[in-house]
Amino acid sequence: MLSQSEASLNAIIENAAMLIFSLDREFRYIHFNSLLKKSVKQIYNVDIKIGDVVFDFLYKENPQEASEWRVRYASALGGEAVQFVKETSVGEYHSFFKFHINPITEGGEITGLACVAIDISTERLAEMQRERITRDLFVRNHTLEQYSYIVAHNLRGPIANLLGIANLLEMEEVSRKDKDEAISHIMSSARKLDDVIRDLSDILQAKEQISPHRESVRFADVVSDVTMSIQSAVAKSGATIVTNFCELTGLITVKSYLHSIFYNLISNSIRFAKPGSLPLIRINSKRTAGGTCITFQDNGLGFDLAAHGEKIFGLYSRFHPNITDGKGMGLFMVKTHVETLGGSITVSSEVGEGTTFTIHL
Amino acid sequence: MSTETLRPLYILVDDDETNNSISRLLIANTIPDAEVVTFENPQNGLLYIRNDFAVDERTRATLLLNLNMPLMSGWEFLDNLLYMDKEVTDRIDVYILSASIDPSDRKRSGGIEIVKGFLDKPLTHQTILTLRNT
Repeated sequence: MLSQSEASLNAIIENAAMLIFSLDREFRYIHFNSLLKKSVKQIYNVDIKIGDVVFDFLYKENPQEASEWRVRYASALGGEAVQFVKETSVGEYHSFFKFHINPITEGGEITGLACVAIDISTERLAEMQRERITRDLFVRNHTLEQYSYIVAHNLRGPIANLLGIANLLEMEEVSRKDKDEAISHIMSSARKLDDVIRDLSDILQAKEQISPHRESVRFADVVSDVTMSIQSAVAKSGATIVTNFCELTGLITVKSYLHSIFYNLISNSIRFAKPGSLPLIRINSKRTAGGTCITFQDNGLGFDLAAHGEKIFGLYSRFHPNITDGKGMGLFMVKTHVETLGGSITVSSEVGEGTTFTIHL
Repeated sequence: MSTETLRPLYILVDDDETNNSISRLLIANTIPDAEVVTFENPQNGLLYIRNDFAVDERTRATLLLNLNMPLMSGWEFLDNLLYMDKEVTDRIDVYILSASIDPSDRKRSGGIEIVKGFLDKPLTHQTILTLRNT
């Protein structure tokens, strides 16, 4: 009778689509189903048997993970029901397991741990995809807002000028000289119109691909590509670029976006250098808890953060009254690219001291 | 000097140089004795009003102000104007001259007391005549 119920219990445990195992107080396997054995083999390449101490192979294979497990087991041995989601990867394949670790109590004493893990990869991957789609939609929506802002505010300007010129040319009493002056403005208006239309196309293209090609990119290569492309500006300004990428040499990312970020920030530092001092640009990378942090620090003009604040990332925003060659697109494109890569950018600055951009990716 | 200051004065504030040139030509050819001053940097327009226009108490002016300007928006310009003496601003007829087709710009300018109207770019011969007669 007993053996029949034991056999049926075993069959249930064996056939359940979850990892099931139990440990005694010394973390020796009391019981496990074949799915667990298979998973351990896949992940750690270890064959386990009843009586093995779970930490024997865990410490050898992955000491950091082992200490995480020790903390969880310890709380369960203290009487808590412990739940958590764990990501594992075997080769290319990522899976997510939701673990439940509960104390086994016999005669009022905790004698071991009952552990169950359900594969929630499908749900989790769907959730991650949903998050990604939401983020993409958010970014796209923001693009459309910018797009419609340009159409409303910038596209009509040059057209209005052309209409104004036509109006003037229609007036009979206007002198030849004035008409000639008006005609000379046709070209500049048409060119400006052309610029705005090109900008619109740039903005849309910046976010065209939802999942663009990612590759391994070294920061040092990006810096040298950028300085090559603006070689004459760098030489003319006498700028020095000091980089420190020791802690993190590169990233898996979209190369063209990273290039655009470096290009715009470096050329801004040169353009907005402080008169009378040579531009010094420091670029550092480091690892953080959330990923990657890249900082760009210069000794340039700086700006009044309180007065301009977040506006500096806005489209067509220019705020250095004496420097008028910029279009007000650079920082907008930087922010766009950082956000499309799922990151964020912040700025700190002081007038006459310099500016620091911090990018988290 | 006394006759000169009584010429109709137009102050154009717009970062778009082409717009200022065309508007200047249109005004000059519509109202031949008009005096037109233009400012691409709004800050300089404010300085002119404060330092030159304000001290000549007999002058009136028509201000044509663009909204969407990178260094200082038309809204910020208006904020600064409101800080000036009422005696000075009372002598200025403020009009927005904008290419914006954003309805919220028109609505917002309607809520500012010293703004007499919202003119759609471009400025035309006809608009200038209408402004003169109001």
